[in-house]
Amino acid sequence: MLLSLLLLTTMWSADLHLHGIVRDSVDRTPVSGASVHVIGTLNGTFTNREGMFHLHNVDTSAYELDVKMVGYRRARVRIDRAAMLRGADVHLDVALVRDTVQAHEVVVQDHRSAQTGLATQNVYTLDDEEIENRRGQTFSEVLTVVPGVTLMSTGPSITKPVIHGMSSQRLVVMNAGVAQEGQQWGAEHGPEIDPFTPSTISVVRGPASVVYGMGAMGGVVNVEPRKLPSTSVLRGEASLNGFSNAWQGAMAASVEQGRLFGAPLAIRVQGSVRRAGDARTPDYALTNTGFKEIDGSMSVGYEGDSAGVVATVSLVTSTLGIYSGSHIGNPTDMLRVIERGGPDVTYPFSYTIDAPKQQIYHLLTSVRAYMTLPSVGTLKATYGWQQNNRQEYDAHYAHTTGPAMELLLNTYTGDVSLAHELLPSMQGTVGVNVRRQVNSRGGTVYLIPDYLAWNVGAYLLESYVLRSWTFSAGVRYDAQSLDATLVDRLSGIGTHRETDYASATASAGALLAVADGITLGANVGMGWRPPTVNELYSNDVHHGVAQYEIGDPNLVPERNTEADLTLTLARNGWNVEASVYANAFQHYIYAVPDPDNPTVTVRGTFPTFRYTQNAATIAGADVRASYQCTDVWQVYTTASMVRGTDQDQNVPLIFMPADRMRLGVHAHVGDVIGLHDVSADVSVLGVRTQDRYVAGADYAPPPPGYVLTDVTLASEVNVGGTALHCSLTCKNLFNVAYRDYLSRYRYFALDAGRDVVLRLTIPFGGS
Amino acid sequence: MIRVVVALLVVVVGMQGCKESATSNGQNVDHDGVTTVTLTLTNTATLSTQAFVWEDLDGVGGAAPNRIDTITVAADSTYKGSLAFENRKASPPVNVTIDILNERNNHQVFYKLAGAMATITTTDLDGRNLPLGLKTNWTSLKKSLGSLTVSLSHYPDSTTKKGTNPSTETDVNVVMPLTIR
Repeated sequence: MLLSLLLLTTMWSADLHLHGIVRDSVDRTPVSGASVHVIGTLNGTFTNREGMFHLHNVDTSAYELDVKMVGYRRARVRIDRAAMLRGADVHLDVALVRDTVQAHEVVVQDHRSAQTGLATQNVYTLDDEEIENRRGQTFSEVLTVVPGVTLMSTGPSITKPVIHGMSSQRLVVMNAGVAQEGQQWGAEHGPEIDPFTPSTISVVRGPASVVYGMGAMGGVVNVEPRKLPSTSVLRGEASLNGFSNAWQGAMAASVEQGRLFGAPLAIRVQGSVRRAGDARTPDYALTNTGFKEIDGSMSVGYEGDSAGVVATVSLVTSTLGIYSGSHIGNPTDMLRVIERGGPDVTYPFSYTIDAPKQQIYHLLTSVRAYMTLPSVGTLKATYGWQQNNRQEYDAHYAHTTGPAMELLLNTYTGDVSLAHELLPSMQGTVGVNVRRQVNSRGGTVYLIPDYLAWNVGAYLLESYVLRSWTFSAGVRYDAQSLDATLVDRLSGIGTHRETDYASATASAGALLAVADGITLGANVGMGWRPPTVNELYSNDVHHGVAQYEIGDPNLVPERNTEADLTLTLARNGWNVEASVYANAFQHYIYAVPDPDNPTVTVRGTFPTFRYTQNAATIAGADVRASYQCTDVWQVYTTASMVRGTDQDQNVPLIFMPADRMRLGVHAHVGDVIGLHDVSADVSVLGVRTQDRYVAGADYAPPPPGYVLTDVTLASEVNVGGTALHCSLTCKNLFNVAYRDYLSRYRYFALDAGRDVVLRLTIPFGGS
Repeated sequence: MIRVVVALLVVVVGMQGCKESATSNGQNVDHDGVTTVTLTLTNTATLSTQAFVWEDLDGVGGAAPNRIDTITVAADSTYKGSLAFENRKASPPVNVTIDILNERNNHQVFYKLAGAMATITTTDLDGRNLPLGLKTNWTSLKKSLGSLTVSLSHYPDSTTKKGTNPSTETDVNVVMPLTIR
């Protein structure tokens, strides 16, 4: 033991390392997202939310760091080589000087990345640590770090984000520059994105229809693949994850290389495999909730100074088991399960996935090109093709070979935009986009029909910087034509039904740098979406919730207007971001119970729900605050609350997330017995009971609130000269039995219990 | 200018992908879905037979049931009952009763009377000597009006079938008016 410790220490001393903090020279607030690079080498990193960075395996010849951040002057910082070579703890305090022209400018000046939201909108970009220490389960789970973002889940393997109480067709998820199009109307259909894709993830909370068109009512999740490398060195990264709860194993690897054939040509290939068995609650296993997933992607880019093109192809394939205890025949069955409080018989843990299950593949292709036109601006064009195939197998059907429902959705998108600079302090984008969608259904379930939809949109966005003010505004016009083929169940004869929708939207905002480290931003934005096909034409039992849902072909588009106010403060160790927002909806679409007209079927009588439009409001507040007590200790909190109300009926909206708050302590210990960057994090999440609900509109009242404790230990471990990043997380440490209000299995079973997660990231090549 | 760009995009976006129609198309028949429940009652004294039908030809969803007969029996009589399940939407129609008999350990039919003065007992058994419920004996008492609920429980795990407990996976649950005169 002593020998191995000694050995570890010797190996570690071979690794030269540096760490430090990057701050604003004036107000000494930490600068997050700044790039820190060892000059003359490939070694580089970004600062985290607290402005801190850690560099490992620093070359012995290193003498200077290059520190860059948008809005600041580039800095070169001398390294104390003698101290570093001695193996001493070298800590650098870097002060960045604000660039007067660009100060407080938040627009990302990168020809590749799409602008996420309006320039004055509050954008939360997840830092590497936030992604690293959370990923591996589902893509959406990573997003819960953002205040105001919660999850709607169908077991632990199917989750979708909810931003400010809005999800599904009220959000846009951008993936490699293309709006992800699956069957997102379904509550049990999560976004088909590989959680291991090396990418930058940013979240806009608030409507962004002027930038993203229809659907961006609650916000936008932008998944942008990491920049392709610009050096000729082959390097990569492998990840291994293990989860104790469902005995899940995950492996992922990516390899990349730039400057191929001496040209600005680069490639990245990435893949991941995941396999999980039944999730386990504190009391029993959730039979048939395992999943298997194989994902892969490749990006190739030619990125010259004035023109270039980047092509990305990604494929996600997964088989997801649906909890067998949630399979019921009619409302009486549902009430019996609720009364029983859990499964009738419990089975031992297994990896077997039987029907009911979902089998999905999502193929996404995007080609993005740019060209700089001197004295005009940058012209960008994006083409996207996505094919989403979803097969849902029902448990009962012994005779029917193949799925009970199959949906094949092809989406083709084309965007052209011109980013321009009218004045040195005024920038904007003008663009058009066109989308074609073809949906084909098969099987025996008629939730949505075949359809063909065309969309055309045009927009103009401008932002203007005047001393400590930034102003932005945008206008947009969209039109949609939807041709659905409704099939008569008995005769099988289809009839076409065409509907057209159009909407103009506008947004405006202002951001003021009030004082050093303090900003105040205000936005008024609009969002819209046409009714989705299920809201128009659904006429079937919605399984799992035992409701009979009837669409209304005369629905009109839903629109919201939102006003928000955000204060950010970063000084004296404090890092605070607080927002309040209020949405007013016109024609908010949701399924309202029709108690006078229950629907009689051969399986029993179901409560009827009709898609209806009412005036509604959704308002709330989000807070994130942290205080750096010492170099080691940080305390933090995040909290969010949402209030949704149907103003016409004066009743609460159903399925609004319950109020929640997380309190945590983070310690960055530094170096301990041969380990670097040792950090520990303990946090407690408290979720209140949702007390705003309509009694009787749901089979069971909202479940009681709960408190969960999570612990994470993370460290760099040096093995044979390679710095491995490893972390050990324990979620739901005390194995608390709970049910979340937005968990679709809450009627049938508890949520998952304790989960111990081990994550290992191994970089290779490059040095 | 903007029109040219939009026209160009429409052409590009209009290009057909390799596959635009779902492969499981054509398998649009739900062979297991029951459309028709037929209760046949034979008077043990007169040997006269009557069939009462509950039918929703387009299956779950879509149009309302197209036929719900009123079960009519004579007072103070005994009958032998027999129940049949069919899928008449499928072509050719599927006799689901045969499937239930083949999986008798995984199914049970329950009868529930409301208002009508009668008793119904099941007479057939499954492979483990638990009631199946496709065959019944009826004893009617005095004149009355009410309803009969016939429900078919499916037990994916046959060990959960105890003979008295309905399952939480109901395949069929229909209500028919019942008159004893």
